[in-house]
Amino acid sequence: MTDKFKQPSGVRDTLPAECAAKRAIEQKLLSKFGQYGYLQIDTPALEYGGLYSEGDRFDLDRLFKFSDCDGALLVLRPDMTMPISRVVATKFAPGRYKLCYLGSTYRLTRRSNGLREFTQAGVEYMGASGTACDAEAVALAIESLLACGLDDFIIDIGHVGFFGGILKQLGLDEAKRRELAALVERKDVIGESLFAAREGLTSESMSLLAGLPMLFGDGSVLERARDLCLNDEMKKSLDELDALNAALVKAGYGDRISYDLSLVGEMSYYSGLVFKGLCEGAGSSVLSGGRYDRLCDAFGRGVPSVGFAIAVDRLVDVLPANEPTQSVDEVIGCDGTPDGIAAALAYASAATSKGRKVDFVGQCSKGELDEYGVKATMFGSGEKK
Amino acid sequence: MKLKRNMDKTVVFALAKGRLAEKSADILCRCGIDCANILEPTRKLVLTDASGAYEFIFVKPSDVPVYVERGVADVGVVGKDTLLESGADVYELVDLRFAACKLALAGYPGFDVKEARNGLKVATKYGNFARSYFESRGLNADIIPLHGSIELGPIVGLSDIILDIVESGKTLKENGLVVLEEICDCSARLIVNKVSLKTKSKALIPLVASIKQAVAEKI
Repeated sequence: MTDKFKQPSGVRDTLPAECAAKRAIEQKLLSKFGQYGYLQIDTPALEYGGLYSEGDRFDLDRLFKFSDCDGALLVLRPDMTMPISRVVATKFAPGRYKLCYLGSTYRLTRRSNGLREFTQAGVEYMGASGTACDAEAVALAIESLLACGLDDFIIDIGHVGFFGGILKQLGLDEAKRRELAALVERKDVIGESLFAAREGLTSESMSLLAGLPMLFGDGSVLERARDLCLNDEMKKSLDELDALNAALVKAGYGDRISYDLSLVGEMSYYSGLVFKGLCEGAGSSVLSGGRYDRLCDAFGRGVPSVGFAIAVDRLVDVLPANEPTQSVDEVIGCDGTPDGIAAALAYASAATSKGRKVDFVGQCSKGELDEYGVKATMFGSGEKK
Repeated sequence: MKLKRNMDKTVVFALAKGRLAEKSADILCRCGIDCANILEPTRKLVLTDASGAYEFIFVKPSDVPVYVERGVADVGVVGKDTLLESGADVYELVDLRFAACKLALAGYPGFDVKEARNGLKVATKYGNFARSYFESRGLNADIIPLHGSIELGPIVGLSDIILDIVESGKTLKENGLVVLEEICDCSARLIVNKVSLKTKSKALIPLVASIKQAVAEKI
């Protein structure tokens, strides 16, 4: 019977004060998304496993899994981008869609760092591509975090094409690519040099790999990276980032952005721009996004898209908790008789419809009610006392 | 009230008490950080350098990756073996070259790991690492987690072999065991929180560069 005191790891209760703070942040985010023309959409928490396992888009080991009555694999959604892509590709006519969402997502992890059920708020701009769309996504990411009152943050920008170009040059197989990507993601120079030696990579590739981890910082990184380009894919990724950088700097977002060309993107479906919102004191990123032009290919339709998701729980943790706890305007009580209860309910109905917050305590004495320190009214049989 | 630490520009170091901290202090001193005080015997768990720009927290070696991954420390010094075991999501920026050792499989001479296809019993302090290591080799291993005196495993018949760090090999030899297979080289690593490296880049980029230089000069 001790189970009744336990909770599964990686989930948490949100108590009133924190819940109020969380709802306030969610409201600010949704309202900002709405102002930018994004329409809110909801999808079910349950999806077929195939939505995530196909094309190795997501590691099934990291999903909560169930069997349906017919044995089909069901999963709890680990993100919102896949379900929304499914909706757009299968239920909408081809076109341009700006969608936003707020919902719980689930990831099965043994690791101690992080929740297994967590709230994501985000946007997807589907059916459009180009620097203008990418710039809007980054700008909206900045505007959204600012709207929540976050101050000390940057958006760290990368492009999967840069590292993709390196991989292309190296001609590695899929398993080796993943191994190298994991090393680059960790900026593990030692591991990279061991890998390079083992795979017999050219000295040119080795020095490029050795320099890659430190290719981060302000816009000047893009110039430094120019000299390292080995092929058109790498050049094209830098051209895109240059154009994006010029636009964002001109729009006044320059001091909010930085670059990291070893940002590989934790989702394998990213196809271009990738970015993360980094905030001092958060420990891990509060926002993550990028361009995913080929994700909908699996549904038989090419839908170029860009979007980002905000880790609302992390944002709540990092923002100062200054939301006042909601207090009531008045308290009422009754003597417990049917007449008293009826009078109290009638009063509550009338007062709340006028916008007042009324706490009906129940059967109690006037003395108890007075202790609340707000307007207190007792109702008894027949009349107000 | 929420406790908010590590929100200002102070760089917080997580160090393991003992030898790793001494060697780290040596390198930091050569980088111009006046932190001789961290070598003095004290029971304090938090110390600051003379300038106040750096704070040092002293933790159990295996906890260093936890503090850095969660961002309560920006930087840490930790053995590669501990890092592999933790699986922490951090940047691993510099090989500090001290505390060199190897992760290896050891047992009685002549034991053939490849022959033990089924139910190989392995005693180790590195349970997580051992599990993924044997999985990647396609070996069905029974991992027996221990916290010390790992060498006892084969001697008392608890396990067939051990997976442990080997420095000189002296303990193995005195107990009649030998290295059967080397897995990888380990040494102390400078790890950095993935967010701090970007949000405190003004302090951390020069620091990482001067630590790299100090390590290179010493060799």
